[in-house]
Amino acid sequence: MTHRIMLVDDEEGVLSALRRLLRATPCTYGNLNFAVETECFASPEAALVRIAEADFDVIVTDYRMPGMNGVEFLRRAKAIQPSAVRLILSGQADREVVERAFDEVRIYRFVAKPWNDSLLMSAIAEALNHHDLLAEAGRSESAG
Amino acid sequence: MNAAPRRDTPLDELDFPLRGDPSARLEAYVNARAAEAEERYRLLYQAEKLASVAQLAAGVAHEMNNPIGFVRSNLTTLGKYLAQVAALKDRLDEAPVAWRDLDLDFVVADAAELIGDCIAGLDRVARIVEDLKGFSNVNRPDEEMADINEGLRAVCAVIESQRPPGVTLSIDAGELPRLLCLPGHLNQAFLNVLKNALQAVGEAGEIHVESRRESEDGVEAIVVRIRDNGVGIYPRDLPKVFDPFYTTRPVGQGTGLGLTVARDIVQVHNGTLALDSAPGRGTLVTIRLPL
Repeated sequence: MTHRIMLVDDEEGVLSALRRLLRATPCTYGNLNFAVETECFASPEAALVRIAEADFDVIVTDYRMPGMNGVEFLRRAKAIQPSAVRLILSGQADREVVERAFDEVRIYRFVAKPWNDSLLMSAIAEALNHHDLLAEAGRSESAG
Repeated sequence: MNAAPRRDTPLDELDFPLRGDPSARLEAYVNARAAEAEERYRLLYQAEKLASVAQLAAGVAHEMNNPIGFVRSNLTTLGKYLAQVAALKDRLDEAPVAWRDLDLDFVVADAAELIGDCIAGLDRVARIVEDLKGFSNVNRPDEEMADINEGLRAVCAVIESQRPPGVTLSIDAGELPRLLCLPGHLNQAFLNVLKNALQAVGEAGEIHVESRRESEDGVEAIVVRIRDNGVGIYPRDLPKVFDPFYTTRPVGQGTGLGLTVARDIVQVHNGTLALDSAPGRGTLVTIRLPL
């Protein structure tokens, strides 16, 4: 099964680099190997429109973006698709921002820019695994 | 800050000299008041300057993290692409001729090295940005009554983890009253000075930290002395050590902001940071924080 990842950053250069990274690097967690496809959005508004149309397993977003910051974006994304696991990738690693992200929108990870490729990939792979475990738990609960 | 003299304050309480030549008295009074105003203005200016530089630094640091992030990631991916191209050599039957003609063995090997150099360079830029962010922390005001010895111990613990086995770090904490200060900032200042000491001694040497309550010219102060027996500073470099981005370290090993930041932080506390150094003998940094 292919896993779907949404990338949101107002900087096109970041989106391209992440798209390349996810294509060129195997996304693995333990002995699990995730096949992934990515969709990139340079504006949080456009990303929200897409979230209403299609399912995503993991959302990775920047914090500082014009129009709406990453926490605000994730708050709205969570209202539409609560099952998508949320990550923030940001150069704005202020304690206050990080705390708000964990408290208010329950992000799974906060990765600082400039990122380390292998750490970011393992954060994404862990997030995918987390997503699958939650989905499995949800299914067995509704089955039982 | 001292309260400004109120309009109804009697003249004799304004230390206005009541004896002597009236015009000389007036002049002395005006001069004293002008010097006071100038000193206040200097401190205010220093604090404002620090705040605006810090704001700029924070903005620059954040903006730079995006391009550093994607350039670094792209270079890593490019390295992987290149390895794929290099693998072509073994797959094509008549490749060796064309491969040799185009000197591709060299190109592939050198490109990998080139990418490694670029990534190392970017990591350096990332470190400078990190230092600039430390610089910008000076901006946040959270004054409290703090124990300076506590700060010194915390900072020494940080340095302890970076200390080579041949270096001894000792601390002699005298009894100190609490000081109304920005403890996080002062710790940053102590850390910067200690990092310099650590670099000065290299693989072997001694660093000694001492704190005392002292009185000089009737002014009570907390005095922190950080002494090392490292390489020391040449007299010709001494006047420049507080200039931003001035460093004598090899390229890539220091940003030249450490002492600048340390002194600015101390000055915001109305204190002084003095250097006493001799090449080959070591350096003594004296930080004086008035109570």
